[in-house]
Amino acid sequence: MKKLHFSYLALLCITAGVLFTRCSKAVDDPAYEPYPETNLDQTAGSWKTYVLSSATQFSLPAPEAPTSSAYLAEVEDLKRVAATLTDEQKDAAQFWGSNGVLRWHEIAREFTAQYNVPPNYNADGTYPLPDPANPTVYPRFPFCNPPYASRAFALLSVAQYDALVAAWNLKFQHNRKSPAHYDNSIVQLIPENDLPSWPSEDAVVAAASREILKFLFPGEKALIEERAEEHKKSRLWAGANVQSDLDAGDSLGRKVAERVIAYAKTDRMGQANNQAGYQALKDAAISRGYNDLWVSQDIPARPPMLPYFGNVKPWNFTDSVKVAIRPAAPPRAGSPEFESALNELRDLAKNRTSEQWRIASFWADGVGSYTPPGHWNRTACELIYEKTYNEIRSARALALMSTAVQDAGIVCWDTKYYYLLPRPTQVDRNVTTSTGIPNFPAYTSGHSTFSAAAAEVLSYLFPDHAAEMEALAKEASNSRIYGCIHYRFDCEVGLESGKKVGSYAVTRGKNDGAE
Amino acid sequence: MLMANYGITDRLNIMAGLPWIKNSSDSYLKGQQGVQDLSAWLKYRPLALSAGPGEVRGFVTGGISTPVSRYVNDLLPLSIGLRCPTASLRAVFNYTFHFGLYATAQAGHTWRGRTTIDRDSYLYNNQLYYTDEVPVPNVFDASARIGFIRQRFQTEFWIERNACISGDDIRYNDGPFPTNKMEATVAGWFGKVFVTNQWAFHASVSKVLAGRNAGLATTWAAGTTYFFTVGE
Repeated sequence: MKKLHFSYLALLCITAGVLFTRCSKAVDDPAYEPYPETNLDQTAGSWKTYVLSSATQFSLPAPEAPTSSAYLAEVEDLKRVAATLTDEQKDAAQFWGSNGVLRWHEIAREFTAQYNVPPNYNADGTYPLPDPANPTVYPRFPFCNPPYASRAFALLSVAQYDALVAAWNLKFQHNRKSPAHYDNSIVQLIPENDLPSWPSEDAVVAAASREILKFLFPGEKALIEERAEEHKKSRLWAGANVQSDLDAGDSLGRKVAERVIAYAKTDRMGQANNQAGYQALKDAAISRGYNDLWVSQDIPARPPMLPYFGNVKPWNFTDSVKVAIRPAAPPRAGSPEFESALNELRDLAKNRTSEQWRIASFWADGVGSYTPPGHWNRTACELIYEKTYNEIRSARALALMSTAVQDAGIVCWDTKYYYLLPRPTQVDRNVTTSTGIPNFPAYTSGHSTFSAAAAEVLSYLFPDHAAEMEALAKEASNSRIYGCIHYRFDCEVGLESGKKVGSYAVTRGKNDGAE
Repeated sequence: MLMANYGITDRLNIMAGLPWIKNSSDSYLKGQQGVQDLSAWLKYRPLALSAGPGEVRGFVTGGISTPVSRYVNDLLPLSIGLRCPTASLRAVFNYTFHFGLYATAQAGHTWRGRTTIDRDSYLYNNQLYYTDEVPVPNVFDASARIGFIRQRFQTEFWIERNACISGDDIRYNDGPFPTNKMEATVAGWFGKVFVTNQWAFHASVSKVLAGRNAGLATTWAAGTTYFFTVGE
């Protein structure tokens, strides 16, 4: 008998051992590694800018010649830095050396997720409003919901891109190369290239990103400044820039970001949460014959999310184009078309398959996530990394996509508050969902519009991934039907609308001088 | 819940369990149901001796569990479990008077492995992770129980402390997540009556007295158990 019970123990131990291979706590996070940039994009100084009138809007005092005593002294400083590098500094050189543009988008996605939590209600059932003047006091500013996130990624990308166009213009005008070109005792810790290093593209990106993110996430000022400082210093630690490369880049990046912030202060986002004006939107919808209007499904009822975001200034077309491309009216409640869409959801709520659950959860991008615009930002960054784009081509790709994604948000929000269509669960409580019901009207689906716009631009930029991008957008769109928070027509029309929005950014891309 | 118990020797039992769980929600979210985790334990009794007016017994149990279905684990608190493998070790001391009064003290440690969620990014400790793998914190628990047991009847009062050893807090106004450092001090009562030799009814009530990342819930439960004997 004793033998038997030892064999049971052995069996238990082996099973435990097998399970423990899954029990290690370490989770794998993908890492970006530095890569050689072969395409220098010499003519990028003439690419079309978004907010700057042109690449030459800001000038900088010319750099010292590589033979000057001032420059030689900077090279000596660099050698002293190289002699005393710590492991942390070497790690930072690799971390930022991959592609600073992508790193700052990673930081922006993390802020987005951290700040994407709606405020809790007060004791009297009202909801407090985040205050930009007191960003660290609850409820923290901003509530980084999908529209806010779409604009954040657009502003960040545009500032990076415009600043880099200005930098590229100066780079090839003065053509001062990296210190290793002039002193072969300098050993660069990251791959070398022939790109002129004054003004430093990394300092440009660090400064532009720093200023924009401080504007968007003012409560994170200290952390943002620390990251930007590390980014710039990492270039000295890597032996890739001298101090004057960085100083010039910082100055340029800051100036361009200030222009972009001035643009952002007049893009009508300040009026996007005009709750006092909500009644006017409801009256207008009623005057168009819509009587059963959307109401918040939160308890207590929460004021609608950014009812005037649809009025924010679009990037790639005018306000009148926005009105012209607004999707046609959705089916009326009670019509056969509406009933059949609702019946599909009634059935799904009862018989949702585990694969439909999985898709609904994968794309939910709800509270505490980087939102759908962040999801597509990540996809774009992964494609850019795969293609080993240099900084300016990375920023261009992100600006084309992110402006399209914000435009998609604007068109979608305009449509939502034009028709004020109730969510399925408001119409029938038996339509139980797999995910939280967003606090704004149903038609058209935000996920579908964001995703189709992003996929349209990414398919243009990365044609070998076009089929994949279109499939992802379709899945993101379907996920909202599977979750039972959207009617099929919300999603199908949203996809069409987003594709149209994306095509304006594609047209811009074909004509911005980069092809 | 299906449970099996097999006595390998007088001192060594092997047990297995497989619960099926169903819940519902007052909100618009769909309630969850499904087969949860298959578990198995060995229960070993190194100590059993008469001492005064009763008997003192000591047990050591070791157990493992593994999810057997892909239930949704990222919809807490509605999810029926965390869908991660576990292994646990536990020591139990019991003194039972011959007339039925008993006291039990136990302490255990549960190692919990990674789980996978349906999304491929999540916040943990305020940091964004780009993976669908989520580390679930380990748990320590200890409890004290006093009860009375006769052949057809049992009643017991207990107090228990269970606490994750690591993990993060739920973000304010966000939902719980498998990485949360859950802690609770719970007091409860449990009673069981056999109506035949095979068939018992049981009921329990428990209340969370204090907690972190845990609701201050009161839980009522009632059930019935039918014992099958499969071979002697």
